[in-house]
Amino acid sequence: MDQAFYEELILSVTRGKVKDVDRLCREALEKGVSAFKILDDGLLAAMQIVAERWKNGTVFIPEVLIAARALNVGLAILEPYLVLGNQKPKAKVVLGTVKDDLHDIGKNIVGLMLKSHGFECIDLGVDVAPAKFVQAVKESGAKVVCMSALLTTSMIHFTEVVQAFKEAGLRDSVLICVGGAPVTATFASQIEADIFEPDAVTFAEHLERRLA
Amino acid sequence: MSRRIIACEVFKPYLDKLLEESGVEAVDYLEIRQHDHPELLARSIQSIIDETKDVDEILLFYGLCGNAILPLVSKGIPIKVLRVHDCAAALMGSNAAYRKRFEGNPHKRYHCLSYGERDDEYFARTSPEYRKISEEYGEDNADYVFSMLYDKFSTPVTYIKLGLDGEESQIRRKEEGYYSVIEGDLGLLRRMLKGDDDHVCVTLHPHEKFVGIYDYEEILTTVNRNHDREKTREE
Ligand code: B12
Repeated sequence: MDQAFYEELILSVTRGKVKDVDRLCREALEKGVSAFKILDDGLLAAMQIVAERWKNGTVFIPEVLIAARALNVGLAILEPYLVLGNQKPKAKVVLGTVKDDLHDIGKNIVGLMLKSHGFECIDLGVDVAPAKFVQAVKESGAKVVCMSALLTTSMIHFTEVVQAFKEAGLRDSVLICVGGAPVTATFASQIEADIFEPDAVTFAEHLERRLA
Repeated sequence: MSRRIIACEVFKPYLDKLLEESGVEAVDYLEIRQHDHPELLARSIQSIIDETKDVDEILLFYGLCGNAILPLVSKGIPIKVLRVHDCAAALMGSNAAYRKRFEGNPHKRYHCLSYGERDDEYFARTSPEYRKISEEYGEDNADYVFSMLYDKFSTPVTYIKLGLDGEESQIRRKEEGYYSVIEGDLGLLRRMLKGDDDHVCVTLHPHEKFVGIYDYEEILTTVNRNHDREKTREE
């Protein structure tokens, strides 16, 4: 597909034109374009643009939500082809927003990015108690735990989750990743998290490298 | 002592009332919505700080607010900020009261007179915001945005009541059980206005910067801005 195709796909994602995203992804697959290419040069490129604009303050929450929704539509179409191409999913990841916190827009984008990079995501939702993270890891055998917090009052619960993994004797068998707008690298290292990234795109790439 | 007061609009009804008691002063209010973007909020506050002259101190009715206030700098006039995580703690009168209410409580969203008004306007499908998103991105996207921001959360919402006119009717406008009403406490705002208690606020002097503590007592503090630079030089 030519450059104009990717430009149209990117614009359709950023403008939330879900029907166009659906159509363009199908057309490209029919023409034999690899699902990975459509994902990288179309869907993920669009999300990167939105992430940039959010950081600069030129777009707001509605635009972020609208693009994430459109990306999800495209991803659902590409998914069967991505799974085939990947042979098996990269790793299982347990993901959730910590206790007392209901913010999930960022967490869902992290989930989307992880899925786009071939990870299998077990999403526990919001307001997740420490014991639930531990239980999900025990049940699924996941090696990665991702926690999101958007409140400076809920960030405190990261520590409790780390502690719960220690008490369960599982601390060394999982990579603990933290993020969310108020979280900083300093805070992440204070609570002995393994990975912190300020945004979902860099995070998925970081995790991929770490597990390679 | 002369001062300039800068505040989030969420505090307007309460500060209006308190300032009526203690003698009226002008307050610069910033829109509540600015908190949607902590970096932009910091820039707006900083620009008011920077144009302020000929006062002894600046009183900021903001808390840590998702780290929004961390980038602020004082270029001469000391800046006082509430020692709270956010407006919910300020209106409950203390961080301890907030913690008791917040941790493990299912009613994790808060309304008060000013916030409730704004949310009613902002989140209704008849709002200008809804219309704007519909026009730009289509009705289905507007509907999706509103469902993610608002509809998906089941009630009740904690309503912080502070004894002001208009609260009762606001509560009654919602269906039964929408709100779980608690009594707030204006003590913290009152003490901040009086300037008589150091623990209610944190003062930022030139050459200092704010640092988040993320607990329920200290919340935030200040350190020397050269601190980090000196540390790097030593290493
Ligand atoms: C949208 C929003 C809401 C929505 C949430 C809707 C939803 N479905 O999530 C609603 C309206 C429900 C809401 C409610 C509240 N909110 Co709110 N909210 C926000 C707002 C404006 C945006 C958050 C957001 O979605 N950002 C967009 C996403 C894409 O960014 P992100 O989450 O940071 O995620 C990115 C990265 O951080 C990273 N990431 C995220 N998670 C993870 C995890 C890992 C492992 C990694 C590596 C990376 C990563 O990847 C993402 C994409 O790049 C913020 C302000 C802000 N800008 O942060 C306030 C904010 C977080 N809220 C705040 C407040 C005060 C509240 C309320 C208390 C308000 C009230 N009066 O009730 C309630 C609390 C509810 C609760 N208990 O959780 C304050 C926080 C104050 C504090 N104490 O810290 C903020 C900072 C606003 C402010 N400055 O005052 N809120």
